[in-house]
Amino acid sequence: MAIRQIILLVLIVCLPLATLAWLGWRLARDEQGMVQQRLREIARERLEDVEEKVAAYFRRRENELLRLTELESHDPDDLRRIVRQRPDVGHVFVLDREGRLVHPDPAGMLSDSEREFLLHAKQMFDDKELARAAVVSGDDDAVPARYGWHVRYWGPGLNLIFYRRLESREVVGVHLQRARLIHDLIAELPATAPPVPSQDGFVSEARICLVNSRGKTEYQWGSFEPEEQAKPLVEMPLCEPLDSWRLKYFVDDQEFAAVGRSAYWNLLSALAALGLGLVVVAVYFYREYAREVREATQRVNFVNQVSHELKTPLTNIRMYAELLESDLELIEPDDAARSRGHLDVIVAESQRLSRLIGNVLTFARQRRGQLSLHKTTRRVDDVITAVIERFRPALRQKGIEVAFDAAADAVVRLDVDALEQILGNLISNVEKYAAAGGHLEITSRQNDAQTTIVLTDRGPGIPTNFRERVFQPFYRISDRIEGAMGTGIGLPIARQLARLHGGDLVLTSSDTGARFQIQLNTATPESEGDR
Amino acid sequence: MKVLLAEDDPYIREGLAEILRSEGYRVLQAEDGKTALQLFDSEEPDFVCLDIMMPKLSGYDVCKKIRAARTVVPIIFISAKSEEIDKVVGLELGADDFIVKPFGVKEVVARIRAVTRRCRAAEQSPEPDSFQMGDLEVLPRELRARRGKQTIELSLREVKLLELFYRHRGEVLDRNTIFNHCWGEDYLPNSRTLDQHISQLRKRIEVSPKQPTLIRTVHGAGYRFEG
Repeated sequence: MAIRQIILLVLIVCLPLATLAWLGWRLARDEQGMVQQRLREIARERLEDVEEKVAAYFRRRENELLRLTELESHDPDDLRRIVRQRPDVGHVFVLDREGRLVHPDPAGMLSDSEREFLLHAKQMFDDKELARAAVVSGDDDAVPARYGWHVRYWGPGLNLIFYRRLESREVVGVHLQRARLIHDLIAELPATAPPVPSQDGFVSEARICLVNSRGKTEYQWGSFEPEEQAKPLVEMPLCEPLDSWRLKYFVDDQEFAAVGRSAYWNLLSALAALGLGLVVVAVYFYREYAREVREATQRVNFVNQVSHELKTPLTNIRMYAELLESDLELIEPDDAARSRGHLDVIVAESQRLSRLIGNVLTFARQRRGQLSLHKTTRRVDDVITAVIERFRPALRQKGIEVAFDAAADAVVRLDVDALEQILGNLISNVEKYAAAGGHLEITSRQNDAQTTIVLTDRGPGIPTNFRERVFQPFYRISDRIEGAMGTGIGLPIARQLARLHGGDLVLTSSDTGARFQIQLNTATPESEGDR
Repeated sequence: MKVLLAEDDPYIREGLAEILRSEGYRVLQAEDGKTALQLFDSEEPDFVCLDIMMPKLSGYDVCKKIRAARTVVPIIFISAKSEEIDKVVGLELGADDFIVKPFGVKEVVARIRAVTRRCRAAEQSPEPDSFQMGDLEVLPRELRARRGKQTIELSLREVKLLELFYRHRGEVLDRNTIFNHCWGEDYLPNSRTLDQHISQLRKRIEVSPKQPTLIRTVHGAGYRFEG
């Protein structure tokens, strides 16, 4: 298989396949991205549901604590009774209008629990954090905040304090029991995480973790067990007052990465099917092409073989006819006139057949790209004279006079056979198509390395719009000319041979008939050297 | 001059032999490559015409063996193989020229004369480069004659005839002498053949062939160049 055909086959199969693969890969990648994004959104929605539950819980607690802090009395005993009655309440405290702690009074009698609370919360009271927090801003016109949450960290971790500013501008605070708070909160959360649906089925297992501000998991649910260092698929902060806590949603990384991968498999299958199809089509067309080339080669070889085989009998016909002709020259002209006429026909026809065979073989060589020249040294005028002599009987019979104005008598390097073929084809055309003109004028000129030969006839000529087309293989305008036959390869071959000589064959404008100009680059042996 | 002609087609071989003989050469014929080599060794021809496609030994092989033995003998290939590569192979093997079938008699004659000119130009001969016969200057090595600006192409036999008449100017040469000198002793004399050749020669060299001034007929005796 020639390299050109292999490249063609690769282009036919690989180029469309590669383009489709690239486009398909982009499509599959985008689709996988979309599926994964959708999964993330579903996971986020789940977390938002959880967050909403927590927020609802805190709203309930707020309402509850607002009722609790509608104190009728600030009597320490009443306040301590509230603590005793409510397991979710750790401590209740009261700040005066100046933000000073009035209950539990640090200077009074304190329980152990109150003492410990004050120990941890001392800084908070000293800094008057709640007094400040109970006011939206420090401006004089500031509207007092009625209630809110305050977060402090001591002991095992987060401590939530609900405060409320009363009409009397005193602040009442409730420190919630941490353990009870966590317990209540967890009771609000689901026990299992539902699987996340996807286009290809399910990401079967998931886990949601509630992580505190120290990064420790307070509660988790769902059957999936993430690695210690695993990254969550989605995470988000909780609502106030637990906004330093986070919700994390874990799924199996590998399982998640595999989501949407079926698009790649689909793509691969489609490409494989398409590639196979293309290969089958390409192989089919290649086999068809190879068969046609083989048949064409066989035809050309057959024509070549036949042409070669024709040469031997043709040589004999031509040679013996010419020998007979020379024998007749020894007889008195009057006695031999009739026989010479017959012989002229045989010689002319054998020459015509020689030309035909020569053209067929040259054309076949040209098609195979094997047309080249074999240059020898010769006078151009000698070659022209020999060709004219060869044609003279046939031209005479058609009533065509030949005038040769010879001025190319320098010995030059050229392919004699090629020039004979060019001239033979052109004169043969004159014989076939321009006999009515009765005249053929041939001129030869030489100038440095250029030889110009011009053949002008007085026939019907060639219309301007056919001037280039007559040099195309198999193109014949002669069908319009009565009785003339031809192969349509004479002029293309003549031009090709002239071009191989570094020149050209052109049809120039003429007042009378057709005018062909042969230009040849014929270096003299001295100037070119004996190559 | 002896020419070895190797060609397997009998008609082509005989036709070419006739052309060569009429030109004045002695022809050795071989129908295959092996016979050609044997004749080459035994007869030592002056040049060789070889067909390429021959039985027993191809023309290329014959050429190679000849070149291995003698490097200077001119070789002309005659073949139906006109492909460029065939020409190149033939010429690279040392052939001097290449005649492609189907050929015309004139083409063969021209090429054979060209080879003969090269052979004669290379020969060391005591004979002069040219001699004068009336207003005709004969150039025997070039197989040409000149009258003023006109150049006349001559065959080897015609040159031999002119050389003979020039050497014996003023003498009457009888037919046997002419035959022996120009045709060879083994050629059967035929007075009509000689007359035809003299007639042809006159057409070439005489200004008026019907009233010859260079080669005159001596009735009943032969021909004479007045000198």
